[in-house]
Amino acid sequence: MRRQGLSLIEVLIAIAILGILIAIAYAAISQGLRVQSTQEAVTSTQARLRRVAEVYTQELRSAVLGAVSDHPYASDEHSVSFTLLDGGAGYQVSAIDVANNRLSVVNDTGPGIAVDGDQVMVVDAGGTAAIFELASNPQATASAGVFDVVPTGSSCFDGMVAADSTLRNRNALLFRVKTLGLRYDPDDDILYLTEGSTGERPLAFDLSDVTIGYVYREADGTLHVLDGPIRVDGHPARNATIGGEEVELVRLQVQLDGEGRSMTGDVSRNYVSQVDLASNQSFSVKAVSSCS
Amino acid sequence: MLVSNRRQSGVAMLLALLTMVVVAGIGTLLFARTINEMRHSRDDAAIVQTLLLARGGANMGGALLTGSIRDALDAIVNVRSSTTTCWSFGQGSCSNPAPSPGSVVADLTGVNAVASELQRDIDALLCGDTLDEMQPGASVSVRVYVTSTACGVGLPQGVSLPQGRFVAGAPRPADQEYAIPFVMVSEAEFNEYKRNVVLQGEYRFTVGRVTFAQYALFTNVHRTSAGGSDVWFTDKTLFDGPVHTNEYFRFFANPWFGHKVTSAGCPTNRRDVRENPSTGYDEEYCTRHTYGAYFMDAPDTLRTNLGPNPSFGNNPRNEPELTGGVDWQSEYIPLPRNSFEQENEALNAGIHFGNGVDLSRLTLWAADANGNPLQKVNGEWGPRAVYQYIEAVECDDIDFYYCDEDGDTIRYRVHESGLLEVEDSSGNWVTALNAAGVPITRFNGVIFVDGETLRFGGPARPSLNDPGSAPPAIAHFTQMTLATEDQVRITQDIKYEDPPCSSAPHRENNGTVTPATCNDLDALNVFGLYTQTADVVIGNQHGRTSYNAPNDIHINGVLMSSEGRVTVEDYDEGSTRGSVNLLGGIIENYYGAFGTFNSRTGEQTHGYNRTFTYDPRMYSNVSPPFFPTIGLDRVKDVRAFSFGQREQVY
Repeated sequence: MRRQGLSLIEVLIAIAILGILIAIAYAAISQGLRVQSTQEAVTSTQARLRRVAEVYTQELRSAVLGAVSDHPYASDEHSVSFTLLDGGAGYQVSAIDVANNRLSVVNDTGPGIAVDGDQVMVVDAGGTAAIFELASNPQATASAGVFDVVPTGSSCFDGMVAADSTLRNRNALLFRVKTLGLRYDPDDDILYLTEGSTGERPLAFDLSDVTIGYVYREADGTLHVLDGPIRVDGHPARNATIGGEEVELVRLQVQLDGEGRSMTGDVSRNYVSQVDLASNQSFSVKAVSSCS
Repeated sequence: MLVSNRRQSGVAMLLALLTMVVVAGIGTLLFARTINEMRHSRDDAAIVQTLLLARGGANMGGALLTGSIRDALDAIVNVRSSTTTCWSFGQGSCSNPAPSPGSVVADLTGVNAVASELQRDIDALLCGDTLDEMQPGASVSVRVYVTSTACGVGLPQGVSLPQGRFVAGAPRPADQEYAIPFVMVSEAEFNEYKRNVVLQGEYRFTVGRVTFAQYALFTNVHRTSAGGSDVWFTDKTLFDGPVHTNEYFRFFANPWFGHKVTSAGCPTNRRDVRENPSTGYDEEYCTRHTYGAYFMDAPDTLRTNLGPNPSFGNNPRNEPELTGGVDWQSEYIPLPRNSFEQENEALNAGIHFGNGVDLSRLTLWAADANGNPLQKVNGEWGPRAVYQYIEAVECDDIDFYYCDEDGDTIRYRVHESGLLEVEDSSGNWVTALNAAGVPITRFNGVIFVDGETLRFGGPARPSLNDPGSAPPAIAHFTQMTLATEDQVRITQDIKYEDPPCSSAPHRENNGTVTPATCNDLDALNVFGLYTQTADVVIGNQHGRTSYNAPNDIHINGVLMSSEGRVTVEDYDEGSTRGSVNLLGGIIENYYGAFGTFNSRTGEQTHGYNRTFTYDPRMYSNVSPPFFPTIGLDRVKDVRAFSFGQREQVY
């Protein structure tokens, strides 16, 4: 007599085999998903850090004359401030009236230089720079094509080389700029950005650390990486001395640390980039003060 | 039986389908994520690549500012700078440290000023050129603004241009530096991606009077003498430096020019003399130009309205190879009509042979510490020279060509520190004094002879038929100009200790030209020979052999004759003499002949061939000291630098 259907034993064996197969498949798939998740978190974190670094370095690379300042944030291990061109670059300053806190600038029109509230940076012949806001539109002077520029702050040009009407200080130049600052807040793991006179806004979240190294180079090529700019008279200096040796701030080193979440927990990654600061031998900034 | 099999097949199929669904689901998920990652990576790479293209465009623009745009600026400055005041651009008292800012603005960046003209030239170079040959899908366009509009496009939003300014310098004859602000926009596209870089900076240029030494060949009248033969450039003509004539060039077949060719188109009957108000000296000027050149197919017809690649006739085709460009309507450049500056400098801190003295012999040599000429050991000259020796033998009795009675011998030496010493009657070296009795601790490089120099050159060759055996005449540190009131006859090789070039340009059998090899452009030694009223001659066909130059003579330096020519004596007589191997240039009133050739075969029949090599240092502001300057401003140096740049501004 031929049997009809499967015996119970056969069904149980089939179910057991199927169970084993499913268990093996589950383990493999589960492990694969965990690996995939971890990898994805690593990739995603790395991509995020890379993108933040690109924005960071792109802005730093654009810093006017490669100068670091203290406005809007004091430049240090977690913050850096500098200026970006935002209009005309290189207006001729025919006079710096230190005592009366004003400049004379050569141009065909006053508003062509800047207007009330705009940020500008002046660099004197000695390489001393000051960032300030205009208290009013440039005012025409008795000399055609020469306009007076007055800052909102006081004593903005202390220590600068005074130009005069005989143009002995012919290499003082004025730039219309906007300040840009990047600040990392370790309490909320956010990198903030402040541009011009606008308020602070978040640039990147979930960063476990952002550290900035200031790379100074001696003439013989010896490098010094500091956690803040050297200050001369309290202002960030591009040219300074370390141990009696003249050094120049040539680049910034930015390290970004970030975390990503995966099925197996958090993953940490870091991204280090270096940015050469713009420089030229013909016109350079040695130190930058901020006047407000 | 059938029912049972169907049940078994159903379970197996169910299992198989289930497994396939799970695997397919996981596979799809992985595939989708992988594709996303690939897209993300591709986007990242393309964006970075596009940005790099934009930056590359900006770099190219920077290179143009110091290359082709510099040449354009040079031509503009040449025409527009003031020739009558002490400031090249702008106005102001010559006692002020600078011209007034407003006047500089007007001249540089005002309406129809330098910047406007320069913008037209920049646009002609850059507009419409998208550099799309780099790779499929990629293109870069660059605009350089020195005015508010470039290539018909306004400045980017929020960007403005300051005005031109005076940077540094002093009233003439000093050089002056000016600046024109610029904005450069480089836009790159790579497939669907676009990126731009906006760079703002200053284009600084130094303006000054350059010397005639910048020319490989300069003729005031392109004939052998007043009323003399026409001079035709032929297949044998190879000039690898700037060539200029104030008159007309004549072309036969395919002469080759490796640098710019310029002619002022001023016939000799359209010239007059007037005082130059900026120098107070008389100078020649052109009363009416008729621009053009002659071509052998119609040798008596002045062709006008010539383009950059003129070509006439068929057999042969008269088609000069103008590889460095041509300007048929160049400025008329007057030759100097005196040598006052050179004489004054010789009196001030140089060597002055005055009172109409004629020199029987003037010899220069690079010397070791004991005053000996350098020796060749294993193909190299040594030891390194520490002195430049200058030995002059005065002539007490000159008989037209020759000195019948030598006079005193005066020997100078210049230490590499610049100290000039003279040998006294006891054979001791003492510091030489200038005309005012002041010791010359820094020789200025000028030797002036107020008469004729009958024999001039470096040390004689130990082996007469071996040009390579002639020791260096000009020490590696020496920069010297010999200026004479009367004729100079070159009778020996004049060689640099450090020649900047090691080969001459030459034409290959297939008709192409191989340029000179010039690898030592940092060499300091430089020599110039300037005679104002007479000729610079290369000794030939004299009964007294010491008055003849050797065969295949080597001359390193720039030779100039304001009113005469640089020529070979009796060039159309005697045997062939090989070549004059000149490393430098020739500036002359008339085009002096060096030899004659069989017009049918092209073979040399008398005198010397020309094997000329331009010293490229002369185009980079290197010049023999106090060599005559041309009366027009030139751009001597440019620097383009950025104050800052923005990426992806718009």
